[in-house]
Amino acid sequence: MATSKSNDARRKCRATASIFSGRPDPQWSVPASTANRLKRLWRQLDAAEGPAGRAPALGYRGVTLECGAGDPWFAYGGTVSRGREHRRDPKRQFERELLESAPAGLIPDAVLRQLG
Amino acid sequence: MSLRITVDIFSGRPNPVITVEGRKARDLLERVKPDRRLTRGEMPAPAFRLGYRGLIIEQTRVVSRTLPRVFRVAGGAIYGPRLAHAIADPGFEESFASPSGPGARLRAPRDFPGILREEIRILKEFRKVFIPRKIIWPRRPLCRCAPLYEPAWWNDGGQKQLHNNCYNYATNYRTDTFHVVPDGSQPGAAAGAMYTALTCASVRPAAIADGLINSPRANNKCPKEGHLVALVIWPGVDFHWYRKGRNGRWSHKPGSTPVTNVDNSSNPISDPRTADRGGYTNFCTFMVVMHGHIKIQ
Repeated sequence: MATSKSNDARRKCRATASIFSGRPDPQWSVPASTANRLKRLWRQLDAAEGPAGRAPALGYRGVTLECGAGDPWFAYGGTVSRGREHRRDPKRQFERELLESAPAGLIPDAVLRQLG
Repeated sequence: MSLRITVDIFSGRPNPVITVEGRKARDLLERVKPDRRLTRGEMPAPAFRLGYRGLIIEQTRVVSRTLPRVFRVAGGAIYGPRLAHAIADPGFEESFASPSGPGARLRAPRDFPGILREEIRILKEFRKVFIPRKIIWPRRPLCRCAPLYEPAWWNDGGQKQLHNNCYNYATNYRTDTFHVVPDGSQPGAAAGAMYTALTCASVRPAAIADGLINSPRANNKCPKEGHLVALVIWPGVDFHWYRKGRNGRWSHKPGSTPVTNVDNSSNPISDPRTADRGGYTNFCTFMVVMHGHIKIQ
């Protein structure tokens, strides 16, 4: 019998980086291995008091990971959020790894450089 | 001793109220008594906000000599006649709203305690980042023909907000097509003349093909007819539009995000040429939108 965990692993995951104003934001499929690694990382992160600080109106504003019908993960500025749960990711590992899973050229270099 | 505490949070519905008496009331007054005076520039009583605005505490029988009969506790501070101080226990509101605090006895919807705790957190965050600003409103409309600044209409968190971009907002032309691939809400698409590069030289004629009028010498002045918009470019990456509203101030809608009237430094936008525009470093041009004369796909 399939468990909810294995169902979860089979769900296709998509990422969206919130960057643009005029053009649609870049979206891409996230490989299952990357998605599973990010989910493991999420479980290891310490709780944060609240969501990340407000992003600027223009330019890079964070990245979202959606896998099936559950709440998506949103990473920005050292915090990863899912629903009402917020976790600290001071090295922005979740955010960076998710952005780096995008096909080459999809995310502007300036944004990747911004993450350090 | 008896205290009537109103959770000042709602706008349309009556606020929840609770009474605290005896020793608990005395303890509560000890926790909210004034500590250091707030300095100039710190958040004033947040009665102007939507959402949680604090706890209004009324001493209904015996009145403490050290506190006024009615005062407000909000964001870890106490406000009242001659009062604008931090309170002795900065965690008082959180403990009020905790499952074991007086707030748990409030007659309110079942999910209210959680909402209240989140709202208390939001107000404290707001207090941290609060910057006092003197807002001078124009006495009469500066741009009579320009659209009103009505963010609530666009910021519905759904169809209007998510499926319209900066071009829709600036031109005040809702298409709900932003995510229609490949050319929804894109300059020039309706005229079959979509831009081919993310440069001023390519996006400007595309917008002109949609019916916008290039006005490079508008110099931030309202046109006699129609309204003024501004095109900026993040070279090779994206374009962005602003619009000048009836009050003479500029506003914009970055992609699917909500409409706002501030720039990347949270300052009001009096001129998009000098606003903090992040990566959109290239100011391209002003243009005029004649209402009813343009077409966007």
